[in-house]
Amino acid sequence: MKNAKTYIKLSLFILAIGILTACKTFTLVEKGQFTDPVGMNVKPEINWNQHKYTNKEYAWTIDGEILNQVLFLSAGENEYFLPFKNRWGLTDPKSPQFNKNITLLEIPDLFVKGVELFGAQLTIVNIDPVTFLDNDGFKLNFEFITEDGLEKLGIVYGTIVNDRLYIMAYGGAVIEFYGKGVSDFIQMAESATL
Amino acid sequence: MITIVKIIISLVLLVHLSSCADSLNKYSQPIEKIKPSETLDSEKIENATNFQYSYDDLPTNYNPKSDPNADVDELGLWMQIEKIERNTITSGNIVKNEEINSYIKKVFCKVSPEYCNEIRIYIIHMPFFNASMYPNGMMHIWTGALLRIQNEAQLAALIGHELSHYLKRHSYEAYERAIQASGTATIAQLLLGAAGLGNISSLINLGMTSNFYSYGRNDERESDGYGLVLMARGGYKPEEAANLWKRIINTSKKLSLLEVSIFTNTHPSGPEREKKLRELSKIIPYSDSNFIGKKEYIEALKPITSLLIEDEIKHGEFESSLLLFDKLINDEFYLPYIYYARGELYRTKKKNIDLSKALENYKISEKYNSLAAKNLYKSIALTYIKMGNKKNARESFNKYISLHPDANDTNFIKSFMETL
Amino acid sequence: MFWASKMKIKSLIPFFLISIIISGCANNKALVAIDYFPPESKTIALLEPDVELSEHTVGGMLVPKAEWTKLAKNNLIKAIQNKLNSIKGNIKTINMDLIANPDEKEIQLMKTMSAMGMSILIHNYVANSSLPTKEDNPIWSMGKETSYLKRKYKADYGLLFYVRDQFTSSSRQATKILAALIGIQMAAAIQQAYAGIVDLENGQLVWFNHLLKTTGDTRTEEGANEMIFELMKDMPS
Repeated sequence: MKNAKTYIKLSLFILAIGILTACKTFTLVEKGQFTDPVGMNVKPEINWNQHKYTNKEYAWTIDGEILNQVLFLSAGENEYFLPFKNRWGLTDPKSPQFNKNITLLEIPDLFVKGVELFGAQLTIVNIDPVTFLDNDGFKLNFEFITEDGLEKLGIVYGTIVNDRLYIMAYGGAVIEFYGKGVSDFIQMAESATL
Repeated sequence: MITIVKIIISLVLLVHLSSCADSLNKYSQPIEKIKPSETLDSEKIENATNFQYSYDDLPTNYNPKSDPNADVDELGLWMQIEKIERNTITSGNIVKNEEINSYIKKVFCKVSPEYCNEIRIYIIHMPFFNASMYPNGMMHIWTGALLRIQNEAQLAALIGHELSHYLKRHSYEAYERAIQASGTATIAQLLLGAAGLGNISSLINLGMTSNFYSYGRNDERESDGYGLVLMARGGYKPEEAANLWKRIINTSKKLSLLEVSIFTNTHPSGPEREKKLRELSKIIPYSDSNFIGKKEYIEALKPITSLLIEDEIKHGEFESSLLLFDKLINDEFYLPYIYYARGELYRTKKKNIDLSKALENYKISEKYNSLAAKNLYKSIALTYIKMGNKKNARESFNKYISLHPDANDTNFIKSFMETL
Repeated sequence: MFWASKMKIKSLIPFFLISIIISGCANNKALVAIDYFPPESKTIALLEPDVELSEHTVGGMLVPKAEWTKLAKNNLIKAIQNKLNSIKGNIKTINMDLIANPDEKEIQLMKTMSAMGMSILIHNYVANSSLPTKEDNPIWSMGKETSYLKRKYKADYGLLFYVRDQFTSSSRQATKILAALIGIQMAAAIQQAYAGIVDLENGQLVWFNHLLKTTGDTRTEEGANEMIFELMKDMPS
């Protein structure tokens, strides 16, 4: 009798805590502190709001993900890195997948295809070589238009380390919102380490 | 007692927890297929020696909104369609290139001088064969249609056909049927997807929608007939309408389950349709009309050729794109682009990449015109890398850089080469 | 602790937790009020309301109802005009004729404004989606580019309305990481109507009101009046 009651109380407690924490989608990322979403160590100089999607997909935002959004992504062998899911929650096989045989040169194209699967019309502005995560990487600048016709800008840093793909991307509305986070994003990307 | 209360509370919590999480879109039932009545008009049954359709049957001053039967329903309908038009304009999914738009306008005006300034034509970025006419005078043509059409006369046939649906109120009636049958209202949301203004996955909805909003056999018959009249009056060879239909069938054979041929779904017909069109074109009283315009068409499409093919590579399915490319090779259209595109298909397939086939095709593209496909040498280089041939890869990269010194990724490639 | 055998008090703790959670998860009130209303000396441009009403079908599908929407829109505009007449100040109505004369810049400004409105709706009115950085400093602004509208329409502020009686998602898939950025509308359980006032000089949203539930039917005049009354009741008159 006593055990049953304890058991119920304990499970209610756990349930309650679980719900309480599950309810909050966004957590605060404080400026000036190191943090390492998806293993990429960065130090933001402004406050951000973090939304963890999965262990390998984190997003940060200032004003809401519709307006501006940083993506932290990572993928290993045969893993999808921008999985486009249909209404039944199944990943569309056209989603970009990473594997050991893919060269760094091909990643920007794959990223672009992944974004376009979501319905955006995308134009590449330029792709430059950079050092990202202390490795040879690329920086991709692009413009895109959402399904609703809103114009946005994007910037992506990517590299392959130990047969794993790492990407930090930032996008936002051309009017005002891209500009709000881009300098901090670039600062973080260019000093990020694993 | 308290135990029971706690159990109840935990149930309440569970329910609440599930509503706390994001709720998924609950699409479970497909829309029922709505068929207009299929009984044929006895008066319009074709007589092989008598061409039934006269230009005089078509209104010269058709104003969709001034119909004496207009009622509240119609007003709601216009609002929905205007919204689609506004979304079309602001969606970012239309081809804005001025040259191609004025070319298509020009062809339209040859087919129908009377409605030249009234109809708005938008080219939508969708790599499938489709065109639609909305009851308010807006026409959509998908880029996939432009890629598959073989000449100016076929474009005229498509335009004439769609315009006939409009002038004979088929578009309006199909829309109305869709409204009435659903018992509720329009399905603007799905039609927006059907208009190609959503992403490619909205094709699932497209398949559903095209069952919902389709023309019956009578309407098709009529539009075939009047479409021929319109194109012939514009000086175009009527037989090309039959060839267009044949082309649609031939390039639709290998579509995957998800990629229904939207055009054939919204325009149901049997295999005899091509035959019928050919017969009609033989008895139509416009014997002087014989302009085909193959060269003119290919020339006019030049500003967007690489765009059309890129769209096809990016979003097409391997089998159906390959089939299309085979047809285009037969026609000898856009050859350097097509061979490059085939190379891309073989190189970037999800499974069973075929590097040697890819290279073969790239080499052919190079022979025809090494400057046509901008990324040709980049793709060749990537293929060599995967084959383990670094020397040739470097050569190709260098060729790319020397041909396109101002390309937006030159620095990236140079730096990449150093790591080879 | 919870394992204590003194049941009475300790066993009430889950109750407290539960009530906090239940009230926390479905919060109708704004987390932070955004409620500066412009003085009467200023001109407010009433931008075309973005309205859509729909209904669930048997299959669980949401179908936008054209005639309802048109009725509601007409009623809402009338109700807005009526209410605005009672507000001191100078209101003018704007209509964008996109088909004849699209103004690209204006279109982008309007789309950005809608995106901002949607963002506020999601992040300021649903407790589990609140943005920690906005909690102390709830400024949403789209910047000085809105002054283009100020010059074009000679108005100091823009008043925008947005009504969906059921949230219609243009998305056919589950929410995932890129959806918001790419613009696929996210499904949400709440009904939405909002009214907002943007300062066209600096792009800041100064006044925002959100309606969770329409008690009336906006297809009828009374229903529309009721909704507008709710949305605009905090506006000074």
